[in-house]
Amino acid sequence: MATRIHLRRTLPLLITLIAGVLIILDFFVSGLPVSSQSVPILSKWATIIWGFAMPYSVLTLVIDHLKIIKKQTPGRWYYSIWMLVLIALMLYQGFTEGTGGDLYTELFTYMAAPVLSTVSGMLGLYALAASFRVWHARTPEALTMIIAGYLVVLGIIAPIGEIIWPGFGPLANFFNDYVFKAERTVFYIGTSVSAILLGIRTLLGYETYYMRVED
Amino acid sequence: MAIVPFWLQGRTASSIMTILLFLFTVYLTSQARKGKFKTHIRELPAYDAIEEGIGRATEMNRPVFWATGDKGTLFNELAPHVLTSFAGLRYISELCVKYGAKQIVCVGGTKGGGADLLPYVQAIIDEAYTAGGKPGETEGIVRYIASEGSAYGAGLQGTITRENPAAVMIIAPFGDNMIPPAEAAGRVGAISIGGGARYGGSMDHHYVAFCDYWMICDEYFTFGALLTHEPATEAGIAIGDYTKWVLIALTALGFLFLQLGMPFIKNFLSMG
Repeated sequence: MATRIHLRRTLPLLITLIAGVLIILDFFVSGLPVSSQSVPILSKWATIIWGFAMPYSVLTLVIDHLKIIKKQTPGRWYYSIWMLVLIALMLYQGFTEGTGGDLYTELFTYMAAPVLSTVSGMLGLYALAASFRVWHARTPEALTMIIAGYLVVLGIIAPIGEIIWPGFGPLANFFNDYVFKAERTVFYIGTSVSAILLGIRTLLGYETYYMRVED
Repeated sequence: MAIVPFWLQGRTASSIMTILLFLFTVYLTSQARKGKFKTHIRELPAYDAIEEGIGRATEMNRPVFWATGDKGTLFNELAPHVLTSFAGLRYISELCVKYGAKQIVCVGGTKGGGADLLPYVQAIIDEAYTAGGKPGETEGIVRYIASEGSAYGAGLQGTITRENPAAVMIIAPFGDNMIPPAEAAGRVGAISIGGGARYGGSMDHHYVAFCDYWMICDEYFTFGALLTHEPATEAGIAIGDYTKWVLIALTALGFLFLQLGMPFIKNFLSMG
């Protein structure tokens, strides 16, 4: 039992370390036989793992929807039938004609694309609604954010800003080009450093909470 | 094939910094394990809100909702973000088992359809429920939604609207498609806790606008340290802070010396 737990803890960490070190080595010193030959193999393995995982995902999806149909869940079961029919149709087309087939292209262009565009269009409205909800100056920090927000709205987004005062445009552009860019750079550096360090800690086996195995 | 070292590939600065970070991590972690280095990580309201949200869900007999991000996979540059979100999922699942709250975990939407994440998510849930003495009670928890991003976002919104969760947790590398579930969380009256750290902070402001609690930028990566309170993990967070101070100093000094006509820091950093 102890050996099994030890293996379940150590083996993934060892694989992570070897694979990670090989990829880092290949990035910094190209042409080394040990890394330049093994990195393409590792990439192929990643594709193979994904190849196994994808049918598992589809199977999970199909089983979930079959359960909904079997239970005749009110308001849902007929949508599940429709989804299974579409999965079967797309799979058939994919296997027989590939993704370049006429029916496949038409299904995507006339059925999937409009629905996906509708969802994307809704995001803007949701974002607008959420922005108005947080438009309250509860703290001095929030007040500065709101002033900056108003400047951008009046100077860049809403044309009425330029009519009220022509200076809104240049002022908003100044904020956008310098102040916000500086803020984005701070975020970029902070996130990158933290992500790199998390990667290093994962490679060294210090960060194992996600794969904890109970004794 | 000829061997080309980093200094001939224009990667001198990044190589030196990576090696230094490796060495610094090993040194400070060993010091922390010996008890010679201690640090303090400030409290994060979003972290405390997780237990509060799960407690609320238990009292109201409503589920706890969690979703993988629509951007991260284990094969791209967002892999550290995915691992952090897995640590969060593990913690949330353990709390759900402890309090007896119903859990819904949605997967999908990433490059490759989120399929690569599904087995890991299932394994995390299985382990958490087995460790909590409830093996075999995981049926119906993990749901694969869709492979395409917008379809995934709409699916998450639909799931939240139908299942009426008391707590919605979207602590994962999301793009625009975190908006539909966050908006739905507000509509069903759920506590929403968001977290993400996409490079450039491109989506972090959405977490602030949409969610009740959030952890953004490098706060997101302190999640593992807050969960475990292990000295080694906490030391890792401190190393990040020290590195940022060094980078700030390099930037300030680089600017100063450049104005004085001595561009050696700029030249070093520009070596690729």
